Amino acid sequence: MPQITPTLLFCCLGLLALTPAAFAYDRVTVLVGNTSSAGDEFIREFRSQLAKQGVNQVSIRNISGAALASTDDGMLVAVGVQALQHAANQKGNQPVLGVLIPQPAYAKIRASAVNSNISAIFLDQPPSRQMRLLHQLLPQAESVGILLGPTSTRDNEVLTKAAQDSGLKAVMATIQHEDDLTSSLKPLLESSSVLLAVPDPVVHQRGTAQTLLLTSYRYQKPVIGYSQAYVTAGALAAVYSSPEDIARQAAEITRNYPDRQSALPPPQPPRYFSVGINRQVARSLNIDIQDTEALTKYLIKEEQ
Amino acid sequence: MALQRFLVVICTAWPLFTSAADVTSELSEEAYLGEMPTVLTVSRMAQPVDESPSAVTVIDEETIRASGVVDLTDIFRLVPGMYVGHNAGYFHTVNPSVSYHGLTDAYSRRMQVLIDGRSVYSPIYGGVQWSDIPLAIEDIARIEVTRGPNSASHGANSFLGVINIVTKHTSETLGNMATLTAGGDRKGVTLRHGGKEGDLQYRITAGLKNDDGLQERNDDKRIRMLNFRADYRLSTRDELEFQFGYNGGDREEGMLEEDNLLFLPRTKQVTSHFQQLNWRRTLDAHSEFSLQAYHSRDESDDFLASADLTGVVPILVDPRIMRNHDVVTDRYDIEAQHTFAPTASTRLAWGGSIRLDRTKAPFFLGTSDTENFRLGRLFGHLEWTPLPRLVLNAGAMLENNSFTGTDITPRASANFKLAPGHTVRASISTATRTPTLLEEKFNTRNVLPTVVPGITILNQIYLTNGGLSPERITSRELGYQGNFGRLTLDGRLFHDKIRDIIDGYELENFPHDPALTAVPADTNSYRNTSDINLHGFEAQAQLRLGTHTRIIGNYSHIRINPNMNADFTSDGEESRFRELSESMPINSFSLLAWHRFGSGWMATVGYYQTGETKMPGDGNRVDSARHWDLRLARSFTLGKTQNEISLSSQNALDHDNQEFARYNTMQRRTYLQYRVDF
Repeated sequence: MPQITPTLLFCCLGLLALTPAAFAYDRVTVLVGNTSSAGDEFIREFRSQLAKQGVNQVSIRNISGAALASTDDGMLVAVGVQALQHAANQKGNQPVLGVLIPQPAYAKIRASAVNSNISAIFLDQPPSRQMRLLHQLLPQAESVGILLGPTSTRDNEVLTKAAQDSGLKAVMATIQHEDDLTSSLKPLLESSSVLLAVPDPVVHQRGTAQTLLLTSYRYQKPVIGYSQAYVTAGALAAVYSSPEDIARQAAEITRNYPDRQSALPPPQPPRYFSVGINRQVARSLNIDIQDTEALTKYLIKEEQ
Repeated sequence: MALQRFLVVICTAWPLFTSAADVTSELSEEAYLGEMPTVLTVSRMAQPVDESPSAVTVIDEETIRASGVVDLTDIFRLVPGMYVGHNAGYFHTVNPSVSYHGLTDAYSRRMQVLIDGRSVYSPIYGGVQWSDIPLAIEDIARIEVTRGPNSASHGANSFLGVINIVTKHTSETLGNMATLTAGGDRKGVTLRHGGKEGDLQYRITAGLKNDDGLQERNDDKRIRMLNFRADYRLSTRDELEFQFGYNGGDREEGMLEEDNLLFLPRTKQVTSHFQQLNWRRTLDAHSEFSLQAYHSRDESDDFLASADLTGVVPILVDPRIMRNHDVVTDRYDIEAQHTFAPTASTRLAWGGSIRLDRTKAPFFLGTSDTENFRLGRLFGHLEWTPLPRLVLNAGAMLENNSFTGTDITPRASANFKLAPGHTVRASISTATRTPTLLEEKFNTRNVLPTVVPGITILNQIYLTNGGLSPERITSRELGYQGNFGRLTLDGRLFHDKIRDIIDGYELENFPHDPALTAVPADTNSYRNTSDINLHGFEAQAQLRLGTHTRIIGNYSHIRINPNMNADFTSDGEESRFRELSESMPINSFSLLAWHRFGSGWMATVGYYQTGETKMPGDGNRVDSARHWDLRLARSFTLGKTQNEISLSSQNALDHDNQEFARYNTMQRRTYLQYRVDF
């Protein structure tokens, strides 16, 4: 299996230790949509993190269950897009923290939310973090190819900037339909040293992974993915956050916003992350790779 | 508060996009946290060249396209140590001769050829009928050529080398493609459609090719081809692959200048098809189980009538000899393989296979029965990395076949990384070559009634008694693989010892029906004769200047030393054996360079030079030869289509260039190609 380091804390360890363990959100409700293993992992870790702080009043609700009481003034942690969508449509001003949420999905929900007191921890890694990893893995890479779709095309400028900051030239192509994948991919691979996957339902999904990974491999160009599954499938590497990583961050938010009147912190990228490497792919592409722990430490250091 | 400030910083650096109006598709957490199929499985990824137990030449798709080759075999000119004759002899006239390290007549019996793991080596003649393979060049993903024996992985006949052709996965050929080729003496069209239906992906490739071949030869071919491949993903771990292929059409035969009595010019019909099923299960990142089954069938309808022989043998009842050369071969093969990592530093691949070759060739085998050849194999291959800089490989194949019994062929190698990008390899490898069906059971004769009462002429052309031993090779080599930034270098010194070479000789006496009158004529047979040593040096270099320029250069120097230690039955046999030393040019060189200019223009130059040869069998002495290939291409986008128009010229400077035999003159051939992907 590709190696994954134990998740590492990358900031503010000291600060957290100093924070008083006073919980205003002593009643936390976790709202789930469809049950998924990722959701279960999140809940397990979230509970255990809160339990460490003496908070045991965590109730779990399903969106198909009884309607949420509008008088419920505890914090609501909505797991996944479906749960957040449901919570955002409820009247009232209950603080809602969405977790395991893709950024574009959050933007969409936020735009039409009835309850405006919502925030989220995204699943998306900051582009700067991805570019740093890419540069560290492939210091000789000059250009990074990025295939965007209708959803991710908006990230164009951010990605270009992040690439520049890491000394890379971003080569972009945008497709509107899955049928255009092959024809756009080949010229992109010809003009770049590595392919960076940016989440988009048209470009990257179960059905297109094969085309992307096989074609890139044929061109002997590595792919940097955005999930552990992508690494297992055949990407060279990925920086990603697991449900446990997100649970830790969610527990911190719960703890660090003791005043129930105050607004939630703004939506934020994941703070904890792991680096996954596919050693088989690295070996086959003749790429020497440091161990994942060193890579993770490097990324943490760079972000401080 | 510090934490809040920190978050504010993060959020400023991480702009939020709150306009959601143009979100067309939903992105759920599943995309980040859900499962994905394992695409780059253990068997899909090539072993890095510097960890390989043998010398390997990889020809990728870009090289194939840049070269502009129409006949696949021309690409093998880019493999150091390989000799390609556009045409070979005057039996199977349209078949090119492709051999590695010589020792071959028109049939390259000492080299294995696999396509997606399916052997296309002919059980009856040996070698490969290249024009009859159901395979479109456009569907090839890459070609890996193992230079040196590799029986440990691929079994008998992987003797001097192995060509392994891998076709593209259907997910790489979605959409449509058309290629048109037009030249004075060759025309062709290839159409491909790739589609997707849920977890099923497929492609259909159809092609027509009319090739007039060489000017002076009766070697036209009309190739009709249809290939189908489907890949079905059963789960994230299981994949099913099905292939079907057909190649049929007319092939011209015969050559008046060499034989104006028996093998007269004519046209025969060939049909080849195959069905192949593969199931692959990924067990984890290091382990995989695969099961492969295939059937292939090659049919050749060739009926020929001789010239009127009244002037030669006046007593024949029928002045023309009628012969039916029909041949049908079927191959059934099942193979299972399991690859896994027993420990962190070892990887083991092991498996087994069974095969049945059924051949019906009444004229050649002297029987209307179908000949069955059975083969069973067990193999294992271990790779061990005891130190980060050292890779050890060891493997062996245990084989049993119905001709030569049981054999074991081991192999071992050590790759040591002197420094990053610089690896030396030492290896010793063994292999066997099983006699072909003709070498073992050839029985061809003409029984000719005469007008003289009581006399029926027996003209026995070939007769073999079987019981041959396999040929055996032990190959030692010392290799080096180096990366110098944009330049990669690969060189090797080799020393091969081959024992019990199977060679032809003239049979003096043989028992026959006393009612027949055997005419004194050369009756040919096969036996194990002497040994041969080969040694030499090979190098390949590749230079990549950015993504726009690539230069590939190859050189080989080889000496073949027949060891004249057998008792030869005749001077003719002895001199033929001695001449095997000339079955490969001592020196050969090839170069392919291409550059992409801006605005879609691309130019390719190929240069090929081979020393003097005297090929056995139908071959004869040809001088050293050289030729230049030139290609100019322009690619452009029209709407959603990607187009390329190219003009290619083989032997562009029209050098006097013969291959394999004096009667194969490679004149200049120029053709225009258009390719569109849409």
